[in-house]
Order: sequence, then C-alpha cells, then structure tokens
Amino acid sequence: MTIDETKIDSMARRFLLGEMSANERTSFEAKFVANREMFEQIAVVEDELIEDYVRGGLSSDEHANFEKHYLVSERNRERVAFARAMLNKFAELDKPLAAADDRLPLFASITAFFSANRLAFGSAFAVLLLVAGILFVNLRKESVEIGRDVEPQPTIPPQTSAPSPSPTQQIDKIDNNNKPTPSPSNSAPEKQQRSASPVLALFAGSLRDGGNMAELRLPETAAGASLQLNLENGDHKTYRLQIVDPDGRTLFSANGLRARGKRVDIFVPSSRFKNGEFIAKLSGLSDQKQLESIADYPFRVIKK
Amino acid sequence: MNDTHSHNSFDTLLGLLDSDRERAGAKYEELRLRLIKLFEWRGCTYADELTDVCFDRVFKKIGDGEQIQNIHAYAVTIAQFVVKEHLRDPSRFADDIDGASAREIAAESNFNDDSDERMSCLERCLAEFRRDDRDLIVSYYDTDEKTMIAARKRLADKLAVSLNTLRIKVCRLKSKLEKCTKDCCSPANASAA
Repeated sequence: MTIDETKIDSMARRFLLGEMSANERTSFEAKFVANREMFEQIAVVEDELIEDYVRGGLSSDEHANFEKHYLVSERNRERVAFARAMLNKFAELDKPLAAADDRLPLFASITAFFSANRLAFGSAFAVLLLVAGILFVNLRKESVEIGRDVEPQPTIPPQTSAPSPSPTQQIDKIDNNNKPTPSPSNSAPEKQQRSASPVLALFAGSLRDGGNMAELRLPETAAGASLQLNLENGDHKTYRLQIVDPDGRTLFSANGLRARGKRVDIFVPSSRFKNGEFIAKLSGLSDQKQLESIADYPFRVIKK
Repeated sequence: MNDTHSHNSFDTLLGLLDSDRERAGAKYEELRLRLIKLFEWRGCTYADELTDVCFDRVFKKIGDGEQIQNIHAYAVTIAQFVVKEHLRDPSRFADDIDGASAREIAAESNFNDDSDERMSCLERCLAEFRRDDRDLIVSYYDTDEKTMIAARKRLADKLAVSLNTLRIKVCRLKSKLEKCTKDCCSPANASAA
C-alpha cells in the first residue's frame, strides 16, 4: 500500500503530541499496527519531534504537549537524552558530506567556471594557441637541426608511472563521485580512516612482569581504546571507573558499569587521553549502596 | 492457561499471521514491536510487559475458541484496552512485572546517569558503522534549525534519493546507533536480549 507521507507526517505528529481525539487515535493505531510503511513513517516523525524538542524548534504548544504526552515514559525520556548526546557528539565531528554539499562535482565546477567567464577565456585561449603555435614551430626547427649532427638512437617509449586516463575514464570517475552512496573520495584531502581501537588489559596490582607499567599505544586515528579491568571477583552489582592523572585530576569517569565474569570493559574516547601516566580507579557499589574501592590500575598512554 | 494450551494458541496465532511458519514468526515479531511502540507512544511505562499482557489475552481468547479474522485488528483492540487500564491504574500491572524485568528497567535508567559512558559508547558504536553510513547520519544531523530543511534537501539531491527515502534511511541508522549505544552502556541487558 502506498501511503501519503505528508498526511501521515501530520497525523503522526498530532498522535505523538496527544492532540488526536480518542476516536481518531483508535483508528490511527489500528492502521499503523497493520501497516509497516505507515509504522515506519511514524518512527521517522517521532525522531524529528525529538530532534525539534532538543533543538528548541517546537512551538510553545507543541513543546508543552511533548512534555505532557511524550516525556511521561522513562523510555521516551531516554530517547530524548540519547538524541541530545548524539547531536552534541555530531557537532564535534568533521562534516564529511555537509561540507561537500556546497561543492560542485569536479567536471561541473570546471564547466561552470568557464561558462561564467566565456569571453575572457575565449580571448586568452586564442592568445595561448598563437603562442603555443609559434613555440612549436621554433622547437621543431631546432630539433631538426640538432638531429642532423647526432647519430640516430633507438627509440625507447617513454616510461610513465601510470597511464593517463582517457576522457571516458575521467567522466566515469566523475560519475562515480556522484553516486548516491556518499564516498569519502569526494573530498580532495582524503579524511583519514579510523584505526582499530586498541585494547589494554589491566590487572590489579598494577605492574606487569618485569616491573613495566602497562602501556596503551593509541594511534592518532583511533576513536578510542577499550580498557579491560580484570577483577579478583565480580561480586559488585555495578562499578564506577575514574581515570585520574598523577595530580589527581579526573580525565574520565563512568558509573553503572557491570562486570562480565571477572572483568569490567569500558571504551574510552581518544579525546580523553593524552600522553602520560594515569591511574584507572575502580570502585564497586555494595548492596548497601556504598562505593568501595576495588583496585587501582596504573597505565601509561603513548599517542602515536 | 497451561503450557500446552499456550503453545497451541501460539501456533494458532502464527497460523493467523501466515501459512508459512517462518514468515509467520517474522510477522509475529513485527506485530510485537509495533505494539510495544504503541504502548510507548501512549506514554505507558513497561511497554514490553504490557505487550506480553496483551498477547497473553490474545492467547487466552484463542484458547477459549474465539474465532479471529483479523489478528492485527484484534491485537490492537486488546492493546487499547490494556492502555486504558494501565493509564487508569498503573499499579495494577505491577504483579505482571517480575523481579528480573524490574532490574532491567532499573538498569536502563542508568543510561541517563553518566554522560561520559554514553558518549564513549556512542563514539564506539559510530566507529563500528560502515563509513558511508557514518558520514550520512553525521551529515544529516549536523545542521542547525534554520538551515535544516534546505540542507537535508540538498543532501537528498546529492544522493539522488527523495527526501522521504533519506529520512527513513537515517531513522533506521539512528535506531541502530541508539540500540548499540544502549547495549554498550548496559551490557547485561544486551547479553540477556
């Protein structure tokens, strides 16, 4: 069944904001439960409402209705919290396609450039042709004269590192740049690929055999690193991790961590690390809701 | 209702969804998901548990010999009754939520507690995305309120898809990112799921 997206968008918005009459809502619910496309369209509108709320783009009535009807459930509040975090995170990142939006594809840029300056380039091109013609005639004359004085040499074809692309290949390349899939090759300075995130296993007692401190070698292009904090036992319900520098400043913290067997895993973004020595301090939440120190895990970070 | 009756009712329900058992299983999951969302959108707490309540009632009706012509319409009608009952008296369903579920719900609320953990999980999950998907979702959302519509239209044009196709694609990606982040923040839930 084809759906009228605009109509569904409008109805979905009213449904999610609690603005429908009971009868209209009953009928609307019956329809979306039976129709996959319609259901998915409502999910799209839900995301957009959340985004509008986070960005402050709802009208005062919509804002009030959103808080009254949508934010009543814990799970919906979590969705809003996630959206807020996601938008903040994305704002920090590079803009892979948005920056490219304003750029025309290579071929189109060249065409546009020349069409905009047709007269000037026409004249310049004519002069260039004239100069090139004169130079060619002179060079040809010289080479014929030199050729008369030297022994003939076997002709060796010029060695090139790569064949020049044919015009067809060049157009193919432009077409590829315009394929629907966003391609990283669109932007001239290629963004660096993310490296795999390193994993550092840490054990209470701190130093490895031989007395060396555990080292985290973090590639510049890695998103972060996974720390595996090994425990004597995994008795606590949840754990808290703090990564502190030698001066006791907290660089990173996380609550509510859970042990998998006798290990707590946590991913720490690269932005939280700098070169130097740190201590990962792990505490456990007791049944009496008291934080108990579990272990300290010293380690050194070397950013590469 | 004993296990045999429940099993038979479930088989009957699958039969109502599709004659092919595998397809029927997929349709059952779809129906379940839509009912969960219905409860969430109506502002109900414990949407999963209310969906279980809803299906229990459907199974019971089937077990009692009720002839159901349109299972979607039937299920949604029962769901609407459950919503009404729940909103009138949320405590009424407290007994339907076992200890394990309550713990899961408590664990879910940790999601809000620590921004650091969520951010690191989000970054980790994003890093696991295919590069073109990652670029797409970042580009889609990396705009401000004023230029949002125009920017997204340009993005859709650039990708040679309609704006609605782009919206749906991004909605799916966001949903995947959200689930991954949530699982990462509450690994116990992820392994239980």
